Amino acid sequence: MITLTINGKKIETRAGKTILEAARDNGIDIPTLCYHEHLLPIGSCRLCIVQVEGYDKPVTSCTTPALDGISVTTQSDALFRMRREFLQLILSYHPLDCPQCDKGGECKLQDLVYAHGIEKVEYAVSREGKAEAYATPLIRYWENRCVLCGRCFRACREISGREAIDIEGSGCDARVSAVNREDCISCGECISLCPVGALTERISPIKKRPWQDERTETTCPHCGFGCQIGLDVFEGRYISKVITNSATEPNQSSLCVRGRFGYDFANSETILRTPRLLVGNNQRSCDLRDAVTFTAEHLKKLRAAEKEMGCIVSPRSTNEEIYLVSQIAKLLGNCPVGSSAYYHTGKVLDAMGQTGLPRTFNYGTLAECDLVIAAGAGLLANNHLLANKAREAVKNIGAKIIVIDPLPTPLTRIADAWLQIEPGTDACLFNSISGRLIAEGKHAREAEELEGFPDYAASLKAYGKDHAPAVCGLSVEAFEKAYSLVGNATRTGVIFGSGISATDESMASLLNFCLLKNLQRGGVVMPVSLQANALGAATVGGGIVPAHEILLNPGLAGLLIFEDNPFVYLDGTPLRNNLSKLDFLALCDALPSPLLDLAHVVVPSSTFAQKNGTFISGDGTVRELRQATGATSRGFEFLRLLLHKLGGVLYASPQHVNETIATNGVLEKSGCRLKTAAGSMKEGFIVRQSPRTQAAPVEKPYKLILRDLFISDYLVSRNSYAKGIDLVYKDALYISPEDASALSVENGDLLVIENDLGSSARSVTVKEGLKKGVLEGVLFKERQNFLKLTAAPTKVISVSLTKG
Amino acid sequence: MGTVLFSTWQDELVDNRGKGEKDLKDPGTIKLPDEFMKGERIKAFMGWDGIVLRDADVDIVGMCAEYAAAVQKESCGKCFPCRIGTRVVRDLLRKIADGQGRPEHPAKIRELSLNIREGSKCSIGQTGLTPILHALEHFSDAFSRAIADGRKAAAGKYRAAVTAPCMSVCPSSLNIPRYIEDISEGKYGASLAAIRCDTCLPGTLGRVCVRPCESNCRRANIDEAIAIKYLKRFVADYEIEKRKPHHTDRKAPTNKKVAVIGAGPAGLSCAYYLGLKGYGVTIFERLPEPGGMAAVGIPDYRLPRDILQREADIVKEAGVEIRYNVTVGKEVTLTELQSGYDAIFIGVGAQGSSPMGVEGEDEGYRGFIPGVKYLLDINMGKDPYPEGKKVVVVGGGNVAIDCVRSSFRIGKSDVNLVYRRTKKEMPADPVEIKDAEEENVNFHYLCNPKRIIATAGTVTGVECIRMELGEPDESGRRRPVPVQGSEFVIETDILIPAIGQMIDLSFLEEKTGVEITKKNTIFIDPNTFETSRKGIFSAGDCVTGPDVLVRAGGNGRRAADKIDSYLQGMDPEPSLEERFNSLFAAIKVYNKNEKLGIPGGRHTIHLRMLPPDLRKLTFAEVEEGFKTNEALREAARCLRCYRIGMIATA
Repeated sequence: MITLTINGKKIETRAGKTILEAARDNGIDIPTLCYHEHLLPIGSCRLCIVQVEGYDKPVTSCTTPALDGISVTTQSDALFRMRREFLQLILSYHPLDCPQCDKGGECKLQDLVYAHGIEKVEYAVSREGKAEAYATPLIRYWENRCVLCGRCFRACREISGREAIDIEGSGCDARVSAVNREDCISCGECISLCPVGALTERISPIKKRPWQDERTETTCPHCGFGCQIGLDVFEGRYISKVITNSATEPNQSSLCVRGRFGYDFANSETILRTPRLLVGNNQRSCDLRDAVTFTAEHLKKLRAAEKEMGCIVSPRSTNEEIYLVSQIAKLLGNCPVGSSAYYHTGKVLDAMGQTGLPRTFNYGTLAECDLVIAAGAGLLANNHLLANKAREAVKNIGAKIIVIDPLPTPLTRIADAWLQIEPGTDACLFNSISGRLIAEGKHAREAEELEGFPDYAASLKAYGKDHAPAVCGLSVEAFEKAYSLVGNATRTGVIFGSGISATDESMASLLNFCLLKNLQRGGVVMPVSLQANALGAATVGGGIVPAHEILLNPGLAGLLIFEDNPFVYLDGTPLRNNLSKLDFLALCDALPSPLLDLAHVVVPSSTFAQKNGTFISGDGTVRELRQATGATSRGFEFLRLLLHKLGGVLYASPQHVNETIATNGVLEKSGCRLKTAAGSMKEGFIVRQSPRTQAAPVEKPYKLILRDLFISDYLVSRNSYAKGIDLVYKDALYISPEDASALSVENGDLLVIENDLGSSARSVTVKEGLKKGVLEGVLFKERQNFLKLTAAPTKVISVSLTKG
Repeated sequence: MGTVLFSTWQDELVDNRGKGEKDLKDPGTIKLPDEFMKGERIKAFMGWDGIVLRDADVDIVGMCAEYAAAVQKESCGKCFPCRIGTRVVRDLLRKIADGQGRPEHPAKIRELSLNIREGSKCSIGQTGLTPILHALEHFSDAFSRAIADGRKAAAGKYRAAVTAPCMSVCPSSLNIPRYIEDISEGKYGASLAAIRCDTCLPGTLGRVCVRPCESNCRRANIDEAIAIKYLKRFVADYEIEKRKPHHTDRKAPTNKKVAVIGAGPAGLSCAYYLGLKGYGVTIFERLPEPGGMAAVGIPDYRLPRDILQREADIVKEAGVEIRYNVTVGKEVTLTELQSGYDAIFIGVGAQGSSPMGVEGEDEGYRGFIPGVKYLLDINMGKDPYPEGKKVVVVGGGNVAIDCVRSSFRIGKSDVNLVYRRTKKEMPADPVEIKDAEEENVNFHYLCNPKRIIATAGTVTGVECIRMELGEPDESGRRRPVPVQGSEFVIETDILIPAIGQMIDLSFLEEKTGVEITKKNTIFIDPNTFETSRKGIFSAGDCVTGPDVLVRAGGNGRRAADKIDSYLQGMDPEPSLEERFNSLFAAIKVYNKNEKLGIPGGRHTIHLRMLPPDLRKLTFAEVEEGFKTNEALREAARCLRCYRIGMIATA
């Protein structure tokens, strides 16, 4: 600790802090405009100038270290005059359009100008030229409002790892411009950090001032990272904006495009309003009680007839709703509960349970790791924030990055090693690395004490030194570099996604590797969570089965679907055939989906913005949903009454259910966190007697990797109910330049993709960085084109290609 | 130097206006050259530290307006006071110069300028208004008269250029503040691209440059110099580590061809920049690999050869062909090259060893191996004399240090260095000396070899004599004088002279007419790099004698510009940039005694090194480059000391 004096007050601070940080930590305010705690100091606004005793010139407190023994003055007439002058300079061309500016009322410049008593504009300069407008479908740039503080382009690079915008030109004619438009991922980090109204979102039709809104803190409904967002609600009904708070964990001020711009489905006019029953061939509206009675009667009848039944829950429903569904299922003869959460999270939990690795973790740990391995995780459509955390580790401690993925990911551009393996050879890669670590004695000694070590070590002898490069299609240099990074790391963080959970074999090999490096203690293992409450769906009700096992079960007679739309992730033809044969299908959902035509009863549910309840995010933390608009969830109400009608407990509120969940052994006692391990599992290796050392035999010449299988239903149902997302997303099929030239196709040409299940024609885009023989399929609204090639959600599909 | 009429340079006021011949004073702080170029006289200079006037007829108002315009143009736009403030100042000065000024303008300019100077982020704003403030103070009449009369400023001829203390002494003229700022903003690719504008050897210089920039770094005035060399290495390594694609922006090929002799720093640089201009360039290299003295003379533990190989690969991307194992003078003659190519560049290095003048050195004893040859053999992967285990190296330069440190690495057990002066006088890089000490080299200071002891044609020892330091010699170092009767013997198997290098110019056939100086270097016109033979150019050690890599590379690039002019049928001449470089060198940009008036306290980051016991046994690179966080932190220390110099000429 060091001691310094600020404005005569003695304060203690840690060496390495800046004067500004030390002052703020001690409640001393220094005006700033460009400084932002998530960015490296910029030093552009010069408003944070202070005087250090013994030195002639004022210095910016954001860039000057707090040194032992110095005496600092933050307020003086001279400093005030200088700050005022700099603000005057900004006003020389910054329009005084505060009444029309989006930022009016929450603008830093407005506050500063007011605080410095500026009453008239002193200078006028004209700027030459005009910037090429930086604008995306979602973001608008107002060049004269821009003060060029630099936060936006710094954030673009530092936080989001992109290079879309930068400053161009010199002197007074400098402007922010889109230097690399294609690199923009519309994450909106630039908007979020803009202190004035120079960058604004352009999709919200609702214009109002901050004081006209009510702000509700809640949890983002898209992926399972658990971002905390603020919903600005106008007149108690319309969400006008999503905002973030830079002090709130785990995302601070960051979000991805979906979190920031994918909220307006909650404002949708098409939201379901009244329950409907299908009687004979006629649909009729009814009230909730009728719907509950109708549903309960039909389900009881089927139960009495001992027909097969099942329930499906959405991994984006709340824990409370999911729990009620599980209790309903119990009363329906313990019928299975299925969810798309199974395909990744369910499998991950099973495998982690076998190894005894902790299933909860702290995102912050990643920033302390000197090596981050990201395996089979896209980190763009979901868990974008994990990529941000990895970049933070690079920026703060110089962490090294290994990406293991056949496809480019946001982290490949900063990866020290990118192991662009042949799809499906992850197991061979990890086993080879592990085998070599053991052979060279570079594994953690603790690992030897774990159950199954001798057998595991013996099973790895089959992997020779040059095995991995040959089988996985890697250069020896790339493999050796990655291996040496793994060997030299003192603290490793492993992120893995659906590319790894795609097969048991690859998951086992990765988790075994983590045990071998003792990451449960000396690092962290982070499976991504694809959906907002995947972890809740997979745990609070006592377990789930893969959704398709229920939905495609030919013997199924009765079904309750809660907020899920399986047409998003399953081939529609067999699904529709099977569901249309059902004796009874009850659907509870917020927005119309193709299931509407198949259901015998449809009960409106609510979107995330209308709910109270909880999610369990990927890190195992229980995060809250707080009702921002409308009445309490009608879906919850339906489930509550239905459970009671079927003979179960009558719960009073989500809170009441929540208390029950907290005592059923899934969560820690506090109720704030998933239990670290299920049961009393011992740590140990998953041993396979004869692990496969070669790649699986090739069925078809190309491997199609599917992206975004588990996108939120409301973004891709019938319509996309989120306008902003619809503007920037599209379905795409990418092909490598090598394959494109071999097939002589160019951007926009049609390609027919085919396997034993079907064929589909799609226009193709050539993408640099793709591996020969690998296709990348991005699923958005026309997802059925891809899904018809799958029987159940599959990450990698073998296909053949012909020019269409 | 002509007499100065008026100067405020570095706060030293010299005012000779209206003074008689014998009262004239010359400023002690600045030496302003008379001419910018032949026939273009310097009438006045405006810069970061003030104004220097030579002629009374310079329109000070007009010059101030021009200077402010240069400042505003150079302002990067990244801080408020400089970006907007200098525009306001420029506009006001332009008004005055246009005859539209108002009486309150000078005071407004002064007040604003003081705030900009105090508040700006970098030296553009911090120093860019100094001469204007000086003018307002000392020439207030000129401003008031211009305003009162509504008189337009007289037209003048002005030239402005940007420099910085570090840049001004870089023999390759790298734009150092620019590439460091890019690093601090995480723009590593842009940083490297900026470096490549001036050198094609970023990875090499990032490791072995003697870094004159760092001893002219203004940050040292408040704490420590920026680790400029390491930052350069960081971005060069980053491109490799992160597999970044490398784009070479080459002009459309022309049909003119240039032959380059030697793939050393000078040759590679000249070839690269000619290649970028579209010429077909062929390099003829005697050795089987690129780098010349950088490859031969610098061991792998300081400069891994794959780095040089990569830089040569990038040179090839610019359309350059490198023919290895071709010795000009043997496989092909200079005359033959003259007939096959439109121009020739000679960039051979100093790869011979100077004789010690010691008894027995011409006997061809086994175990007597000249330093450069010793390093060359080692770099080619062989032990020059496997049976020998004891080594004595004579000399105090970098080659001598490289020889001793390499000796351990090829398994020699007893390694000695003999130097006739003391450690203080050693020309080798002090960092290298320290590294060698850590690796346990035996240093024998103040002694000199006298006689080689050999048995049956094989070296067995060397007889040395103790020295003491006498009066200073012409180099300013105290001359070593033998102490009579102090002879002693060091037993050794290998004796390596490394006291100096020589250049082999035997390939220059007489009929080509390339003139050689008395020092056995190639004679050139320093303005054009042209030898006494038209169409043959030269730079590098063969012109300067043994010198630093960064100079050879810089001159190689400059020579490429001259060859370009020549091939376009123009007379080669120094570029404006080069002329300004000379001007700034004369003025001196870095002022070691400047008080910056701000606190320091942010110390530089040192590289991690392999421990001595481990590193002395291998040729693995000793220093580990910056990690990303370290590079960001180090780059953020840069004060960005850009400054603008402007001359009025006639």
